[in-house]
Amino acid sequence: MLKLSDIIKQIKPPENVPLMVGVFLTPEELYHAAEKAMDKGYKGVDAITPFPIHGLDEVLKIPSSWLPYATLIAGVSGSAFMLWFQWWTSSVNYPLNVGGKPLFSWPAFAPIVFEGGELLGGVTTFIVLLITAYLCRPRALIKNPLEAKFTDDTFALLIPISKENNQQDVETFLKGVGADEIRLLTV
Amino acid sequence: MSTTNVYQTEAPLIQETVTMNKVTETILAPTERLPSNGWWAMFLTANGLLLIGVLSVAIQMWRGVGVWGLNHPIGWAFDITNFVFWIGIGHAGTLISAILFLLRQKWRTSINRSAEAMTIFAVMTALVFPLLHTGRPWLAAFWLLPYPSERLLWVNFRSPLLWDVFAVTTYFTISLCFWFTGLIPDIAAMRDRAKGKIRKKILGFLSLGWSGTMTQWMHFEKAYLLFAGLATPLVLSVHTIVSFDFATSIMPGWHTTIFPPYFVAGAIFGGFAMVMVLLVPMRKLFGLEEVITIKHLEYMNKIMLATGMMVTYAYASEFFMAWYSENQYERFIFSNRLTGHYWWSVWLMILCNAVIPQLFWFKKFRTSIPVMYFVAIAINVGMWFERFNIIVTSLSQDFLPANWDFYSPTKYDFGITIGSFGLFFTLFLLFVRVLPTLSLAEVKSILVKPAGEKHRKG
Amino acid sequence: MSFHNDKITQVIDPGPWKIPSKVTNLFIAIALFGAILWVIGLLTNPLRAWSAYLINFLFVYFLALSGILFTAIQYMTNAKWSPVLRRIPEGMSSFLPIAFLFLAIFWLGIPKLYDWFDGWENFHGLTSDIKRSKVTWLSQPFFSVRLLFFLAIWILLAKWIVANSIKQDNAALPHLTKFNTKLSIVFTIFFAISFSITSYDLLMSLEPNWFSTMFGVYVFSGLFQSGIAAITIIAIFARRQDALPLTIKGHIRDLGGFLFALSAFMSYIGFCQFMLIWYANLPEETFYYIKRTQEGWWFITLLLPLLKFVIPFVLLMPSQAKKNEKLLLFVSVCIILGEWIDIYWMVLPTHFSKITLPGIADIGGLLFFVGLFCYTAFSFYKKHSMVPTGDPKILTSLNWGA
Repeated sequence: MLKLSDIIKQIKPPENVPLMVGVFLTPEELYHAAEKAMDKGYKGVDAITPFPIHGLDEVLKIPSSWLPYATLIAGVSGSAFMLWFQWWTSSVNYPLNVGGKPLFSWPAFAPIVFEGGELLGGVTTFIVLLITAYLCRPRALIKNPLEAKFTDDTFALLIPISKENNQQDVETFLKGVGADEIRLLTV
Repeated sequence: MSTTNVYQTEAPLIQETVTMNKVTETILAPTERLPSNGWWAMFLTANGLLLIGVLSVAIQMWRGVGVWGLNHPIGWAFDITNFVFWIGIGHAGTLISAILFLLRQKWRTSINRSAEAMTIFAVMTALVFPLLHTGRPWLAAFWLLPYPSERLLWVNFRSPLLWDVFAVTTYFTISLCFWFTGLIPDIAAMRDRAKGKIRKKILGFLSLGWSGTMTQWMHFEKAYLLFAGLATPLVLSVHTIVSFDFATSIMPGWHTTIFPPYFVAGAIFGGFAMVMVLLVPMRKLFGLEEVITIKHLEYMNKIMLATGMMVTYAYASEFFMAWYSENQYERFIFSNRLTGHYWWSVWLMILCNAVIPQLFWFKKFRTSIPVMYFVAIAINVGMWFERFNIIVTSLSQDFLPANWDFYSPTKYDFGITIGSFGLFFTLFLLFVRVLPTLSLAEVKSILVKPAGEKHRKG
Repeated sequence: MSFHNDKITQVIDPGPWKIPSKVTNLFIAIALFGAILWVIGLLTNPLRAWSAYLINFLFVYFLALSGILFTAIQYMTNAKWSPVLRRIPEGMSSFLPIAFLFLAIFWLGIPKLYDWFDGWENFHGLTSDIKRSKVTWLSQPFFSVRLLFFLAIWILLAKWIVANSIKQDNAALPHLTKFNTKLSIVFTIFFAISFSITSYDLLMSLEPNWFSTMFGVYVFSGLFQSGIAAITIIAIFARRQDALPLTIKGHIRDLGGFLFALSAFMSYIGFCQFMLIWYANLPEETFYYIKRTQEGWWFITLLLPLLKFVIPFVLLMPSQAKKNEKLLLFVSVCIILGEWIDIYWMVLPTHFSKITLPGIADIGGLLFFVGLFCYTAFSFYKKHSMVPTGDPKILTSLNWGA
């Protein structure tokens, strides 16, 4: 189940802490390294991959997204609004007999009720994705911290350096799991 | 038991030699070099067609819709035929991106991007026609803006034509969001490879700052799944509502309950044919044969065969029910379709939609590019005439014989039809130049041996 | 994508489902008890009893047909996920030969239910001077021969496909999969036409003046939805009793996905058929719905969207819900109940303008046919290995979405 703290975490942009980057050449190596990193108890570990690796988010214990809830609520509200609106325009604001149909003719209102839910649900999904995936942030728009191979065919494990995650310790760990290249990234 | 040796090992969709790096190079290459002569030739031809359309529309705007061949009983003809045709074309894209995604069909990854782009352009093309059909669309501003009750009377929410407005605009918006969401990681890949400063800046903005972290991917995948879930009923609803434009009336040949699923099946059928028409030259021109293989095309042909059978079923059930119901108007319109004034267009439709696709029963034809190209074009012709038949034959001879008249298109009708193809191809050709025609991330995720040899140690 | 080597590389044959004979005997006892109840119903009210016969016969007939249809569709689409489940629908189709007998027996009741059966003298066409088609189409011999002929062909193809599938269990015969794919294509195309006609004949012609081009699709979507629900129920029980491997959790989740999608499809077809008739408001079409929304019938009418759409759609929406077996069982039962009520709703208002709730004949018929259906299906499961171990795609299927 979703916790409120997860939602807040997903809205708040990540803090700019120095990251230790371990570069891997195959998804398998990255996956196993991620498992070991979690076993070691590192906090806030993330990865950079050119394509989504299924199951890696569970390994890294990334809290699951609250997107579906937003979509559901928006979709239901969109439908409810269009149902109310069609009733109000056709039966209250200007009641008009069209083709002998009842003023509130629900079968004829159903298509727009459906479309209203779709429209609001879909647009909300898009907007909420921008928020939760830290997209459209001014800094990120201008600057990308890594080079082309990370959107091409190379994988990276990111371990933030903090009080709990000691820099020396992380470096030896990444060497131990066979990272192809290790570097420190300060954003 | 010695059955172990019969277990199938699946042949990969894409050959093992294709690495992740090769995927990136192959797909992004066309966007990073100057266009070839072949592209210019196609682009200029499409522009020429578009010009014919623009001229026809300009003259129509100047002189009014009277330049079309519409007459008293036939108030809808080429305009609405083209509208329904293009809306239908759009359905294949969403089907491939949403329904096949939910059904976990991996082969979709090579064709979904271009099919989705095609959807958006087809819907844009379609939207031109209702606007043109109103004659002087700018006058609508008086009663539609700022909200549609400017003359104190609300729009009629019980009217299928209004449902259409909601359905098509929703479909366009959601398809655009879906398509753009899928593009974000790929634009980021283009940005990272970009050489020029301005190019890098533009792509940087379009990629919305994507960096490919697992957190982002997790949200991205969730959103993609939600979009697929939303788009699946949406795509069915759009052509359903288009079919309501006809089926809610009492016009013989229009009012029949099978119209909604029949229209949807027909839309997917015609849409796949159009994807084929676009894909075959595209993969040749841009050297994408390794990622869009014959196997992908064969799967598409199978879907065309299946949906073609569904359309044939709908034709049969309409004719059967007209005969069975003992309703004289229904019977007249259906026998009139086969033998009346428009017999040639009805038989052309049956030939193109029900007979020619049967070639795909044979593997030899399913995997032959010339044959599948021919069938795809035939299906497009057939589906255009299907809409023409439904609209024009029913309108021309309805309940009152005194009302009957026939329709003959003018050069302006042909002009806007040709122009719509010009608009569609122009937009598509621009798309293949500037954006990745395949989804990089999705193709990479289905590769057999995703890691590139070039980086491998030792 | 998981990078651990937990793939299944060996097919372990769980053997036939070890069902105690007590259970199969119980099914027979239920059927006999049902038969007695139905006969009591027949003596009190023959029209009602034959209506109940038709309702319950069609109910299990559709379940049996959905079994072979599901099998055929899986072959035809070359589905990689489903071979491990295939014995379940195959077993459901083993009722078909018995259905032939009970379809034939139904001719005793046909004259009571189908007013046109004894001649068209009392019926007028919509326009008096039009050439009558129903005199030809709905004539005793043509009607009888084609219904039995369709079922005979279905039995032939179903037996053939299932026999080929079983033959693969003991010997390496991968070519039979190819052959079955061809048979399945033949079956599906034939089924599309013949099933539509069967539904027109057995259900639509109860109201000989009513027509709807969507009707075949409507009945088909109910058949397919309830078929998947039945497969889900049997799969869950089979897995709990170790008749199917534990690893089929992913398959059951996918069946849940199908139930979710089909609930939307069913309601889509049902709504479109209703809305178009309501909107156009033509008297030759609307009377069908008017009959079914008046005199208390609206109550039954409201149950249909509730059981077939609202409950499955709302409950199965979260992705976690599709993994919850108890919830899946509940939803499947609702859907199957909805399908039964749907057939009840299509059949009964023809002759009973006031609402009639299920009576002794309906319960008797239900127990009789469901008992027989379960007996044939479970006898099949007792006889044959529950996993088609010789299927070339079985390993892919076993490793599906664990």
